[in-house]
Amino acid sequence: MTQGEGLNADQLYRRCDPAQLPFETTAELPDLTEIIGQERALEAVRFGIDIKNSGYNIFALGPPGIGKHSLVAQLLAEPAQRRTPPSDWCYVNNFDDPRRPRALAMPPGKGRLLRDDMARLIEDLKTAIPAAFESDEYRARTQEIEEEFKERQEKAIADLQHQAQEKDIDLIRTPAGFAFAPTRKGEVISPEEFERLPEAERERIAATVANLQEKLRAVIRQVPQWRQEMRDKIRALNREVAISAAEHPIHNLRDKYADLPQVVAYLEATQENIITNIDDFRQQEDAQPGIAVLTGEHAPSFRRYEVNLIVERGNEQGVPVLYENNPTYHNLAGALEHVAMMGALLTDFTLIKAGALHRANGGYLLLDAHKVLTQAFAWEALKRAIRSKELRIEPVERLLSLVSTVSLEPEPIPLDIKVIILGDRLLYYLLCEYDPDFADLFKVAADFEETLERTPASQQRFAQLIATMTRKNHLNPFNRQAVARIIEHSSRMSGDTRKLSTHLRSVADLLQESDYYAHAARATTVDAAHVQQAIDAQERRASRLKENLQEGIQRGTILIATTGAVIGQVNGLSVIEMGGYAFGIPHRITARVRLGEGEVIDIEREVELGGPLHSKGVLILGGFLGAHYAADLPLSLSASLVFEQSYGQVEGDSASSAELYALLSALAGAPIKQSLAVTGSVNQHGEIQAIGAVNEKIEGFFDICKIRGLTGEQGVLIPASNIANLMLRNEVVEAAKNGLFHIFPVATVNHGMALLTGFPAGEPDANGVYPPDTINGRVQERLKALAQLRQSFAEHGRDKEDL
Amino acid sequence: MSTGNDTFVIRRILVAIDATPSSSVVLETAAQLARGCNAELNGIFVEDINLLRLAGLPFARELTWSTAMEVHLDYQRMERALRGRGAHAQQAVVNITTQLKLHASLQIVRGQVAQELLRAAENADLLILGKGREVRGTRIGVIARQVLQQAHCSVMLVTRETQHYKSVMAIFTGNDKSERAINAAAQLARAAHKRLLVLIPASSTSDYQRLHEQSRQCLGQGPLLVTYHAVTGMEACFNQHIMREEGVGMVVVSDAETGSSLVVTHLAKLECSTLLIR
Repeated sequence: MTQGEGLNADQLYRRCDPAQLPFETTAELPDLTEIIGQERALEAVRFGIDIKNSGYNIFALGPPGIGKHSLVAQLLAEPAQRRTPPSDWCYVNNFDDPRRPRALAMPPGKGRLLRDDMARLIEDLKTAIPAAFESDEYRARTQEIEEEFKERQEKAIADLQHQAQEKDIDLIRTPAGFAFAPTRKGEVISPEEFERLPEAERERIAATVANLQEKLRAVIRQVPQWRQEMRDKIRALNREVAISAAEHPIHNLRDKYADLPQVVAYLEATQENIITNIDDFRQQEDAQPGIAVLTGEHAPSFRRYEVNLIVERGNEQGVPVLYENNPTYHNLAGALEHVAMMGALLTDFTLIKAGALHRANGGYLLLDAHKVLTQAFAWEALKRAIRSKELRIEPVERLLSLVSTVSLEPEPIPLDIKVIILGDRLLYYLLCEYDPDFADLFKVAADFEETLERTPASQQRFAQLIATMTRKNHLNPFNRQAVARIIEHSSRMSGDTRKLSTHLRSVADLLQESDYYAHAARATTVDAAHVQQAIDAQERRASRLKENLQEGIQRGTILIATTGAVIGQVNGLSVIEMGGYAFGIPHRITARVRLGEGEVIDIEREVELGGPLHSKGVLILGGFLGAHYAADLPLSLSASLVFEQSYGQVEGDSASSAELYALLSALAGAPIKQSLAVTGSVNQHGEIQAIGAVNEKIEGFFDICKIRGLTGEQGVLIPASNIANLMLRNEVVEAAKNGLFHIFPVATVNHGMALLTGFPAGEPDANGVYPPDTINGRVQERLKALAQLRQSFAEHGRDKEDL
Repeated sequence: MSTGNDTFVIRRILVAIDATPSSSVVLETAAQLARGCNAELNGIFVEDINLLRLAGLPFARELTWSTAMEVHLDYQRMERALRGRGAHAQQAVVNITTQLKLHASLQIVRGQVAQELLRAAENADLLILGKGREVRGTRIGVIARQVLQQAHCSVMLVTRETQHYKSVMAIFTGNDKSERAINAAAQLARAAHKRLLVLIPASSTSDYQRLHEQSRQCLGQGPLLVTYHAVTGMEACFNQHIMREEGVGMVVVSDAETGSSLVVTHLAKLECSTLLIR
């Protein structure tokens, strides 16, 4: 290994030069008005907001914390303000069919007015109507009607009595009714006396009585009709009095709401209902709702004249932009609440509760995809509402046909809304795949970038973003060194020196935590040291598992060598990511070879601990070996590869180059330096390919070496194409600068093997034969020997068969 | 029962019971009064001979009031019905006397109702009977009127609604019986915790003031809220509208007022309970 092949310190970390930042502190910077790095998403959201056609709802996709919500809210603010405020919505009683309450759209602010007007009207009528019925005039007129009935009845009977008396017959009250009997001096004649009468007289009396009875029957039969007439007259009188009492105040209201035909119609229906149910106003004190429930009667209740103002705009300007944090079915689509009364659950239109869709109607509704999808029935309800363009309040139990009790079916409210769903990409792709409605209803995908180009201009805007955030969160200003450090950290988060992370939540968190340390140090300006302190603290808080593993390695529980050289053994590097924190850790990878039939056994795969990408990486090795060393010979080895001491799933192909090195080392019998660790995937041509999380991997090996003491021999082989991703920790950079640790960019397996073993890899001659003292030569030789051995075994076997 | 002075004293009460719903109110009123005055209480149930005779006639039919259905009447059935009513009346007396810890007797007689009541009332100070729901211009209600006119004792006609009234009304003209009437009214009002409304028919202010002063002497002892009204004549005393306004539940008047038959006619027409003082 030559020291000169390692990367120099400048290549390990791309600094942000504070001198390039034209300010002292962020206090000098204006607020950032535009959104940085999200041009694609921005364009999509603007398009989605502007387009009026149905189905053009927006799905903003990107990882959590990237700033989807704030970007969408920021973009909505202006168009929402510009638009005309939508209606207030009220539910009122439907007097024709109380099960189907009517929805009234009112101009903004008028809903409350109507509600208060109706409440006042009913209060007024509660006194005005009884007063009208207690008037002398009303009393006199009812008495007149009753008297007329009584007189009519009495006159009919008195006439009959008179007719009877003329014939010495009297009308007598019997236990059950009336009867006629002949009388003398006011007394009924006895049967004996009657018998003594001449027959003609007896017959005359009997005939007269029969005749009178017939007349009496006619009278009695007329009485119910007369009584009905009396009741009708009293009812007509009541109606007349009620109209006179109620008409004036209702008429005033009708004039007030003359421009709203729906309200006028409602007021007319109310007036008719009040007049029909005038007795409720006359007997208020007798109302006993509990008894009414038991008897199934409707107690006089004035609730039916209430106005349930479910959506009130008040004095808000523009249309609503609503974020529903808890999008349960009821919170979204509205609910019918119930009150318990005498053990029964009752509901009416006053218990209709608006959902987020009602409140956002006419404007914009923001929802988290994950929350909507995890709430039972919420997603279906949302889609149904968007598709049908109306809001229908249906209790869940009825939706499921679980119960069929009498409930309400409120009149649906027309829906005009733009829904913006915020969610991560996986959910978006899953919905596209599995929900056939999704593509119709959410036609606009606003895909958020996770990184932006790192240029002087973008760094300047990033600084402005920091300035905006500090002011918004009331933080101390950050000086240019602090900003530079944050920019560097952002670049590290993006995993690319040419990029900056757009993960706004991480930036916001770092700003607040840096500010905390600045406060603790009684500084009025946040410095790079405070930022570093915050970054270190974040790292420290998350690094319990990493330190446990490092401790295991240090104690020898996990076998990792950082000195010496071993055949068929290499330090691979893996990354563990848990709870948003990723760290690298070395893994011992070993290879053993023997005579076989050309198979490379991946033990991880055999025991189903290897993921498909890992298996793919290993299978490529077979291809490489065959083509590289034994193109015209049968590949006659059996190799086994293993991640030593791995107790969980291994996924990814970033260790495939390490596995190949171990295999080649085993074949060539060339020991591999344990002071080096390797990362990178390999293809069938032996080229090393880029991998992810290169910084974490390097730092993972560095930490182990540092604990054991840096020897100057140690280092990591990384794919050459990963150089641009290097944003290493300061201490790694310092160690590299001082020649204590090395980062070797490697483009081919040959290059890597040469570095790891100290032997030249060797180039093939025109016949494809490698020089004998090279790694490749030794590998080729070994494979050839194995092939011959195999052949001799095959011949020996045939000889035996011949015998 | 006349004592000659201005105090209304009752020693024996006769109550007519006819086993109808209203008669239980009548009986209760009588029993309460008897207990209040410490008077002897006797009940009477008259089996109406007219009904029995009617039932014995070959063509006897009754028409039911509610359905106008014709039902054949016969003597045995009628007799049984009357006997049943008598037993019912007996039970009602037993019940009320047990309840109020009183002694009372009940006699059951057969005959013309008015005559039997008048005969039985000869030894009583007060005859109490139900007013019923008369149909004007018919024989119905005639009994009450006959008794009012012919009884030698005071007569109280009780309506079914006896609870929800505000005042007892008395008419005061200054004669002896009038004094007893106002005294009786005061007693009734006190016992029932009602207001006493005194109507004084007077032709002049001085008359009114004199009568007003005189009437105050007859009110007896004990707290009582009294309201006086001057009226132009006896006719004006029976204004039903005013009575309703004032919530009058009982009218007390003596038979010595001018045109006693007129008074009786008026009393028979009133909706509320009445007491005619003799």
